[in-house]
Amino acid sequence: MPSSTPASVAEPVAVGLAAGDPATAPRRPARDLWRQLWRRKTAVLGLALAAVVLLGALLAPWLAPEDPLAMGPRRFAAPSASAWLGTDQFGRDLLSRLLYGARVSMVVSFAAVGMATLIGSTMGLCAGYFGGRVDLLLMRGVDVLMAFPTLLLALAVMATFGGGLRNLVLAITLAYIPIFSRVVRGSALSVKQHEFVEASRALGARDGRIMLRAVLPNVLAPIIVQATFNLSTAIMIEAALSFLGLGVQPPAASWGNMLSEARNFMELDPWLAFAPGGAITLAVLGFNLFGDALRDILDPRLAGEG
Amino acid sequence: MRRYIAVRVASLIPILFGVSLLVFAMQALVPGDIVDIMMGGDQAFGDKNAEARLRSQLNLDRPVPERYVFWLGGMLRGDLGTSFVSGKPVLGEILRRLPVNLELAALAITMALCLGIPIGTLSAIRRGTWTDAGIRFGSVLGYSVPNFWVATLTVLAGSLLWPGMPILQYVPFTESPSRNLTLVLIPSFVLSLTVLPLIVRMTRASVLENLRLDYVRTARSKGLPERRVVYRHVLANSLIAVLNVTGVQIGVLIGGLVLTEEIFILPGIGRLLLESIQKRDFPVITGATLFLATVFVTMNLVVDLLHAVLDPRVRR
Repeated sequence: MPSSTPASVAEPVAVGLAAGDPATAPRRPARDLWRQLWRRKTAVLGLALAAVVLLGALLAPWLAPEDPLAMGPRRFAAPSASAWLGTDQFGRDLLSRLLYGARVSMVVSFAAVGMATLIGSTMGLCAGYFGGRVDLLLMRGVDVLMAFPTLLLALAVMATFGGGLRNLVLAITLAYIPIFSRVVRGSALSVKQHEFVEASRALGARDGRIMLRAVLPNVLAPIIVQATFNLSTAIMIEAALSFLGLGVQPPAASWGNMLSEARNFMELDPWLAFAPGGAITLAVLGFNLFGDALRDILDPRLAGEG
Repeated sequence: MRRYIAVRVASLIPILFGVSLLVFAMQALVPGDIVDIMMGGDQAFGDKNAEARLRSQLNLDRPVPERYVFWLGGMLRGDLGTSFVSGKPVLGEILRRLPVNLELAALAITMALCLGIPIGTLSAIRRGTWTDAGIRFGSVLGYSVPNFWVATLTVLAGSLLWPGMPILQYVPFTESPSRNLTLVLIPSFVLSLTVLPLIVRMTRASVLENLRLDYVRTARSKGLPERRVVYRHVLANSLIAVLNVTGVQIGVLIGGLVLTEEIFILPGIGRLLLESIQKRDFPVITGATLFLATVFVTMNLVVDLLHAVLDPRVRR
């Protein structure tokens, strides 16, 4: 799925560039993209799910009926009007914990994918554009990172540096740098062949300018598609690490550690196991559906085949 | 072909070298002092002499590059160090648990292929129907559901269906195949769900792509029955792509194994790794990480070579 983004990405969009007018090109495609997204049922569903999770995360302090850490006298309460999803083993409100868990999930995923996109794309851009020794050096490094299964690399980082949000971001970033470097490098290699790159160079543009103004806009589509898919897997990895006790530490709420704690009580109160798992599924599903639609639109070669 | 194999095998060397550097660096980067961690619960804690002894035992009094060379030398001779906790050689601990992983992984991949290829093919030949739509949505849903949740719910279902059932002790296959399989089949099936959706997707995409090609038209126009076209020609050609995606999924499977073993309490390398992380038993952590990464790159190489054997266009 994610690694399959091919190098040939539509046609170059930076036509106006050599003429010194970079502003005209990227505007319309964005509006076009929205229109096409709205036409797809699965894209709208994905967008809606992602929006619910994002809003829940963003507005958690205002939406949550209770303090997620406040213990109450009613333990294992069934869902009711006062506690919509019931309470856990310490009498804490499950809905409030889910909302704050969404916060952790979104902060970690967006921060990690954002950093990996930035670092990985820069590496890939340099490797693809300069080629030669730069390419060799950077891609060898990427090969080494790729030698670890994603979760294993993340586990190793957490084992070394310990739990907590910052290290979660670090672990996932490191695990995701290779994929972005590879995708961008491949695209950059093919874009470099086009005449408009040659033309900007002939006009005296410097390497940095050519990379940012001519090559980058043309590799943006695969970057966006890849980032969307990686958001969904980052949610999964954060949850898995916290589930294993290596990520967010209790009593702070994360979907992963909520599910892990629920394992001790789920025969008594299955809700405790249903709710966090369901939340992870919906969030991941949202970003996956959205990513599928984005890929179909931005990369018509694969449309309808996934 | 022989040249191709030689080149590919040789390409592993710099990668494994880099892997060893990274794993060693992690060990060297551990915040705090390993000696303090090791002596934390010890009576000799604070005893400067005992600390110094331990330090020279572990070569910690040497410069870092020298320690790396020493460590790498051990690795190359198959000496992955000694566990801080059990005092046993790490490699032995890993190899003792390896059969559990091999069995789980082999069963999971077999189940995923046996289910995924027929389902994917069905989806492709019924393209555009409700069956196809259902399978496609099912596979998106399939890889959106966290596998460790499915595993947890499976355990929950088990304990609700058979209340009061004692936790079963793991039995090796060689000791009692039937009791071993009753323990391992369900976890393997759950694990197979991590790779099943992508196998379905890849089979579907690949069958569809092949159906468009000229040889299919030729086969049809010479009057071959559709069944034969699909099963003998298209499916056979599609399997190469499926092989590739299975290779890519080995990494997912290794990650999945760690979680599966933890949830179903199976004594594999994943649990060894998790336990050693909890106890901060660094020789075991680095040993197991290095071992799993080596297995991963080797498996990827095997898949690549198989691909080259099956598809002559790959060898150049």
